[in-house]
Amino acid sequence: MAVIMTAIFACEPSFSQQTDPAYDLMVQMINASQRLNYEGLVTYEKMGNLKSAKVLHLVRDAEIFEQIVSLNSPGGEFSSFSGTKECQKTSAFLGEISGLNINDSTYVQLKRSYSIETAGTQRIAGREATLLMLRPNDAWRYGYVVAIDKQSGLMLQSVLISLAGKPIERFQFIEIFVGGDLDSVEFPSGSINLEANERADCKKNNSLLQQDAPEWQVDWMPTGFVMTDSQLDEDSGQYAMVFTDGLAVLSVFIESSEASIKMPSFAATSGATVALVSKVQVEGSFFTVSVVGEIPSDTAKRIIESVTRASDTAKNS
Amino acid sequence: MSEHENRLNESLSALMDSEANNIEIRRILKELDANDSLSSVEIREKWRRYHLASAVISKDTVSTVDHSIAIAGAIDGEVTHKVNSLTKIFSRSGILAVGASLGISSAGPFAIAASVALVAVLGVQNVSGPLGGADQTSQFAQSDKMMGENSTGPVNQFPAGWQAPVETQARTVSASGFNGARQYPQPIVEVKQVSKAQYSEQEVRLYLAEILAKHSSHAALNSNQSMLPFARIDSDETVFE
Repeated sequence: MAVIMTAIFACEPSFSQQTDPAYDLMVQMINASQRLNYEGLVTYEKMGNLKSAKVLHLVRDAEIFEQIVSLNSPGGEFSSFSGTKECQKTSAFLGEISGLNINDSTYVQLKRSYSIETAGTQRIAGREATLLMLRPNDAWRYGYVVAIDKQSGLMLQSVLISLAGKPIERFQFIEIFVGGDLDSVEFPSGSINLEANERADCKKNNSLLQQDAPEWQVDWMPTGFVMTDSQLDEDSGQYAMVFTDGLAVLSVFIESSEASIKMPSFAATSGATVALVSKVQVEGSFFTVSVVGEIPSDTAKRIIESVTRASDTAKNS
Repeated sequence: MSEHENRLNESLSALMDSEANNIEIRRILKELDANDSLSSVEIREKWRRYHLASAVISKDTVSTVDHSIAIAGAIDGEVTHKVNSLTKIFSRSGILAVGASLGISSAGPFAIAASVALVAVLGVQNVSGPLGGADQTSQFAQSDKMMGENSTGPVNQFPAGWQAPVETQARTVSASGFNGARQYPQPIVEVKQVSKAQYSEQEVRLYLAEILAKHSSHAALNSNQSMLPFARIDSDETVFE
């Protein structure tokens, strides 16, 4: 699949995006998030529920520290993340498709999936922001409305739009401080890292196409989605694959037949996120196949139906 | 007031509300450290006044004696103990007292067993939490539950947004029931479970929490959505990690 997609992308004529204000905005936004230190308050809204959280984002040389502390839940701390820029999978795929990295060719790829245009200005968190609309070109993915701070280039708001055109999740700053003493403050140490194995993966992730012989493959993906990562967890036998079209991200998990015995088939939604868990029978054994992502449930269903055990013929092609 | 002072004040009130993050605590400590500066004195005084006010409001004993120097001295004299990361978890859940009395920080296997017990306790609370008593304060006025994802496809024969592979006695479970005794907001994660008889409800929820958490990590690494993927996870789900 990867080979075919690369071939398609290679045929795409490259053209300059310099006159496209939407392209400039996206470049600005990505640069800002990898360069600026900021802290602020955000609200996150889904399914009629509103949560608030305090966020902190620090960049020191090659390292990024992010922390999100829930102000609602009893636990308080939400999540802390620290990683290196290399850890982020910018060059993971040949086409370099990833929301983290944008250039002429990735923008062309993104435009195959979305119609992208600017849509006026709005005041968010007391700041002037430019709205960027990303409408899906098909019914396999959601649309986005993103607000980008005119002054700093940071993303101040992200709204996911359902196929019916209604918001299904809204992430929004209500206050933000950029720079100042955050530029000189000590980098937090001893913070909770993202899963330890996730960090270890960073080393090998630049050679993704030489992944361990995959036992499983996904035969269908909406246009524009490419695999950016895959890994086999030796302990649990779980095989995970990650796909993105540059905006939406979805994960496919395949559990070992032993673990699958305990798992029923079910479907769950949580705001924009869908989790579909189903069974595949291969040579008399049942395997649990799960798809999780911010995608319509039709998409998840079709993907899950296309998961097959990689056969020898598939490997040879 | 300068922006720096503004931030200091905000950090201080966050600290008073036990909502300060690492940076805010550092910010205050750094300021206090610059000993005789004007703002150091100011912030110290403000902090004291906040405590005074809070003591008055909660009808605690009010004292004007400053013990800070004596306490700092006592702390300096203390032997440093290495803190087990589990104690951090236990202190949050109120199990610390029990754990500490049993010497939990040095007892590895026991600590693991205790953490399993903790998960079980949380799990039970989760499952037994009453549903449906939606907390009005966290909701928007009757937003349509599935926000009308009216896609045109065969799946629309299922209830909006839902796919039930086999239609048997589907029921709803909340993955966010653990919100203390006071409130049970509308379930954030709704699960329609199929043929539940053979399966442990808790295992299903744990699995769901696991794949959602892993997916969020993937999304954070593969998109430019900043901390948005982490905002999607419900904090009680991260308790299960």
